[in-house]
Amino acid sequence: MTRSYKTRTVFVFFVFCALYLLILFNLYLIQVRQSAFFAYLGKKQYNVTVSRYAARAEIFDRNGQPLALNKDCLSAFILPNQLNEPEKLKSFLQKEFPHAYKQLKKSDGKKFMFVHRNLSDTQKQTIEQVELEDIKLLHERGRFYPVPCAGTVVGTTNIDNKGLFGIELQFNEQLGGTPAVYSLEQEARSGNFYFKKETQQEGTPGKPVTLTIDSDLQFLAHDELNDALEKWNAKEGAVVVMDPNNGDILAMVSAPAFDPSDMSNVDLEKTKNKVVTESYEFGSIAKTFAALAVLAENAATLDEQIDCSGKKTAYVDGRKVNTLIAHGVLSFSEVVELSNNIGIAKVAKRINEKLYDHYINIGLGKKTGIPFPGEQSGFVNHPANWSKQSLISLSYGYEMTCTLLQIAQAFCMIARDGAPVRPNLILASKFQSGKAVYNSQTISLLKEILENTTVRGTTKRAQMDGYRVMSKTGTANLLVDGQYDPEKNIYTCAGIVQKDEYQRVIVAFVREAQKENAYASTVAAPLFGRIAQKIVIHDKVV
Amino acid sequence: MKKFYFVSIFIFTHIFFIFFQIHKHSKVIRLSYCKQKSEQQKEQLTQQVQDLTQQLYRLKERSAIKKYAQQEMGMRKVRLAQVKKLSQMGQE
Repeated sequence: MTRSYKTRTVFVFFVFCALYLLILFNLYLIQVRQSAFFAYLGKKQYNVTVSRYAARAEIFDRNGQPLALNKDCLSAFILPNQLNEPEKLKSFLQKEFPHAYKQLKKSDGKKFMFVHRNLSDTQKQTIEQVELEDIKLLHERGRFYPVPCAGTVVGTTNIDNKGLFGIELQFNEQLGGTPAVYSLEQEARSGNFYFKKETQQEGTPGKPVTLTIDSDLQFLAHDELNDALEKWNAKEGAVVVMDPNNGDILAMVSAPAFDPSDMSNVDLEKTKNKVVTESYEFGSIAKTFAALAVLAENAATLDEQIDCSGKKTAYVDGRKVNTLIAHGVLSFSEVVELSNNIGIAKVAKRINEKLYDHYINIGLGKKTGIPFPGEQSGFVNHPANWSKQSLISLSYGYEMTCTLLQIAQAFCMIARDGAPVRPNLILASKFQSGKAVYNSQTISLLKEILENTTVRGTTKRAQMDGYRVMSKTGTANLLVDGQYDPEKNIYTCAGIVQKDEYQRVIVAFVREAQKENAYASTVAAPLFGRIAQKIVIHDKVV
Repeated sequence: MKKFYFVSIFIFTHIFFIFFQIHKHSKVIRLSYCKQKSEQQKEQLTQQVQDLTQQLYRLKERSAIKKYAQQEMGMRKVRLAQVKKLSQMGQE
């Protein structure tokens, strides 16, 4: 072995040693000095944290029929920074989804952008036909409502499947549950599978809500209401049906209705539950409550003769009072039966400020406590704010507003011989009844008046052979820009249908009928009667 | 010689355990894949159930049934006066 060969061998040996040392040093840097950084990079690639909501719980009616179900809906999206055919996509979006086109122009290389969420069948077909690879479809959760006429009660969810109004909003947390959070060690190649799944936070599934609504009755009431609106060319209407024995709301209808499953072009006005969220001056319906107050205070007897002046316009304590039909001397019972404003105003003067106390006692001017968003409390003018006209106005239903539900609640109290009941919309809720606020003798006198009103008074058209019907109508002018508009009226009929132990309270309401001879007795009373007939047939109480 | 056997057995035992460890791990992954595929299938089936339920309730929609009954079958609304209660003794 020559010396030069030895030198070269030693040199190569040390070069390799140096290289190995370099590798070892590099390994030291990666594994020891920068281990945290590389561990972070690795984790970022493999570990994903995913939140997953359980399916939103259903809403049922009292018979177990679904009112809200889950459905899968499609949403279209694009990845603006990875487009294959940008020009073709832009011209398509400009034509079919102009809103998305505008967004794309502003997007400035965004990673993700929705084209449209909750696609309709037509939109889905349009996207499939164009065969653009850049538009991708995503499955999202949505809701389907099998009973559209219950839309104003059940409500709907927004694009993120969160309650927007109605029961969906009121019970959003209960229906939605809480999400489970998982940490996944994902397979990096496909991204579809994972090696390891750890639960970071246990989720809770949503709990279903069962309403007291009977979807068959809801449909029947809605059907009759629609027919009445069509017949009278009226703007809108509402109906509420209650079981006074337990306060269950069996039907709560508003019309014109909307389809909660298709919210693409909905008129927001139609989504209102008019029974709960709108309060009006209902007019002569209040004579029922004024009569109850007068009877409770022993301020008049049923056969006491009241001079109603024989004119359509008269003065009570110097204040002008109008009534629809002129009557001479009537008994107190007939004053209510024939709905004479002059007569009721004269009798109401006898109890003065106590009228207000009775209205509040009946449940007017305060919320019923029904679990429904946006419930109105109504208003009864307090004696501290009274003018000379106030007591007179209050006796026939002005200077006070209430909801249809408050009227139904008051009639339930009458049906229960003076014991108040809280309206109930959730089937599992505990029945809440209070101590009787009126004695049964007073209530039986009032029932006699209401029965006579149906037999020979203003609600003859609500009469039903073989049933005891106790009802009262009210026609009232609407307040438009601070003045009562005689052309715009609301027509209401409220009452109790009874056969033996069976009782139902019905309130029917129609707004702005556009035809001649429209009064509550011709518009609302027949509607009340037809709904009552449908209910007793449905309940097999014939 | 004894030492050689001991070393061999020691090495083979370790290789054997390593093999089993790898086998166990791959089996866990395989089963995990199966589970995930089943989960995906379950989701698809749930979705199908939802679609079918939706179809069912669309067909049971009351206003559509009413329209069919009135237009196709000539049925009319029932009035209370038309309803008679039948008892065991006959019509009441």
